[in-house]
Amino acid sequence: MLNNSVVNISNLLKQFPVGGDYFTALSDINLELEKTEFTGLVGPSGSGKTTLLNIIGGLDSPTKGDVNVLGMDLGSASHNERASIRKTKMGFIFQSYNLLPVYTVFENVELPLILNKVDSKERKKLVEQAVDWVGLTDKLESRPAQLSGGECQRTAIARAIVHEPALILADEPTANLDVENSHQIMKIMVRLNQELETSFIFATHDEKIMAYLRRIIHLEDGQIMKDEIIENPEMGN
Amino acid sequence: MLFNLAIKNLIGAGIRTWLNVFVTAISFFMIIFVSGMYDGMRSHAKQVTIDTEVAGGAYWHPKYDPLDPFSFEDSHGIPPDEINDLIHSKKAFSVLVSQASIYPNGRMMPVMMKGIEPSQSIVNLPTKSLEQEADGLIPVLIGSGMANYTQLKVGDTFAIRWLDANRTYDADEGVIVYIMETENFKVDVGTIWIPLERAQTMLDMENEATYVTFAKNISSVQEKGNWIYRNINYLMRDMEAMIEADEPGAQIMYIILLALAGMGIFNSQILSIFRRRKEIGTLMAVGMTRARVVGLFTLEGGMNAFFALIMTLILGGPVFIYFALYGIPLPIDYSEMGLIVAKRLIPVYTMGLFVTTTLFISFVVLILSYMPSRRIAKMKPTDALRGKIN
Repeated sequence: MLNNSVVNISNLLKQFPVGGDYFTALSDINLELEKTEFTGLVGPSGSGKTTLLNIIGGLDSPTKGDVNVLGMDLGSASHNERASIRKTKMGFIFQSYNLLPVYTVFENVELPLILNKVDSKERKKLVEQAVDWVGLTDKLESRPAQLSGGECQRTAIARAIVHEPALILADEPTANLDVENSHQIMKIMVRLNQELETSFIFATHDEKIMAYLRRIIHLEDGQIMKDEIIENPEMGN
Repeated sequence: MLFNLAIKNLIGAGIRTWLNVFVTAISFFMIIFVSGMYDGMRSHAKQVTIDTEVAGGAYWHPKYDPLDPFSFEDSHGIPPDEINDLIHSKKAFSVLVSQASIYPNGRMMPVMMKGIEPSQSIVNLPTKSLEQEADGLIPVLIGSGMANYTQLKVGDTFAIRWLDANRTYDADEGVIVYIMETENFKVDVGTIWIPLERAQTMLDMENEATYVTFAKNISSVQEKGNWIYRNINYLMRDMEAMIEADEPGAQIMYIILLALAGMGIFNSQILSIFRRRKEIGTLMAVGMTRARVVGLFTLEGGMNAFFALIMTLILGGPVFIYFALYGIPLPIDYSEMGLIVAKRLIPVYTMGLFVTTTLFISFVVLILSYMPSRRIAKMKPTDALRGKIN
């Protein structure tokens, strides 16, 4: 593994039990992603992109093969070790935002810092900084129910970046957003990628996102069909 | 950290939390209220028995068995000197017990006739009423239960028939001089009280007694002859046995109330886990371990119980204080059922009751919060994020 390699996957196989049989979600996946990459896992529904993203995020475990993320072998890591790497070095952005409904924007963004035992003064500073990044300074005390879809997703991005992780995994982050909000969100992420040097991996089939990606990995039926480097993405760079 | 998150979750959930807390608080209130009532009943029954019957204890004639009326014929004698000294110094009083029959309104009824020193003030019975002049008739004191049963009123006369020391039946006319209100059915139902001297004369048992009841805080005498010393514990054993027999009833009530509170908490925990699957998945995604998520949900359940306790004290506290001061009027006269229960029951709320109830319920609540939360430990983060439960 190279020093600036963030994800290193070899011979990955993922199967799910279905009835008395197994469904193969991913097979023969070999992949290496480097630091500051802005990569998309692209493919139709059922192609295995979310499964691959979940395995990279340590939310799911491989059936076979080696998965090394940020220096940790996730195949042999315990639940707690995987939780620990997610807590300290990863951020997640979900299609349906997954904000905690009873928390305010500030409290939602603050959550990863609480888990990382950052002291309250430092927490306040980092939350304000992250919220400023996504342009939600005036919504700090609002609850998710009081926000628009775009604002919810920006809150989720702030939550994902607040502890300055090395890797952000975004699963269909623009699927619930209109065109304008989708572009705004993507522009924020491009900026974060460039200024914070955070690596991004998207699982998407949204054309709007693809226009921003610098690398596109095409998946179909659980296999990598094409690995494409985009020298000059259409948007954002 | 978990504590802060749990507080935020509970407060943030708003009305849902307070409804759960309210339901739990009602159960808390009922458990403390009912336990206090039971304690009040018990302590009242004990107090009334000591007050009206047992005092500090008694010396029994060796042949006296209160449960065997046939023993009354032989269970009489002159108390030993030391016991007599107590009687003369008004620290004790004699009671002479015999079987008798009364004929109120033409009916015959077997009773226990007890001769008692009218001037005694050791037990709380209105025996002074026996000192009044009765135109040569036997002055009789009865309880309201007995009066009810026999349809006798103050001033009513009736025939009394008894067996004297010579095993001869005698009879004379008695008159009701007083009807006492008492909660102790043992001094009321089936008993007539007459002056001791009159009883001794009627039975031809001069200076004799069946038992001698002494005042509280009197130490036992050295020379009691063959008379048997009975302390409070012995004399209260029937009452204790009744209370003990009542214990399972109280426990069943306690368990039912606890089960209601427990089911409420268990249900709200299950619902909470079902509704908050995505939140659980999110917490796992941001790096919370399963054990900590379980801990968070368990803590929320525990804090629910804590808030319920505070609510019980705030809302129920004044009610407890009111009842403890003024009591609860009971609609039924339980003495007719052979129970010593006050007509206005004063519940007893001790600090011990609050502490033990709180500790016990908190423990049960923690277990009940933990049990459904364990499901989280089996949850896959990917399923939880999708809102799926396995």
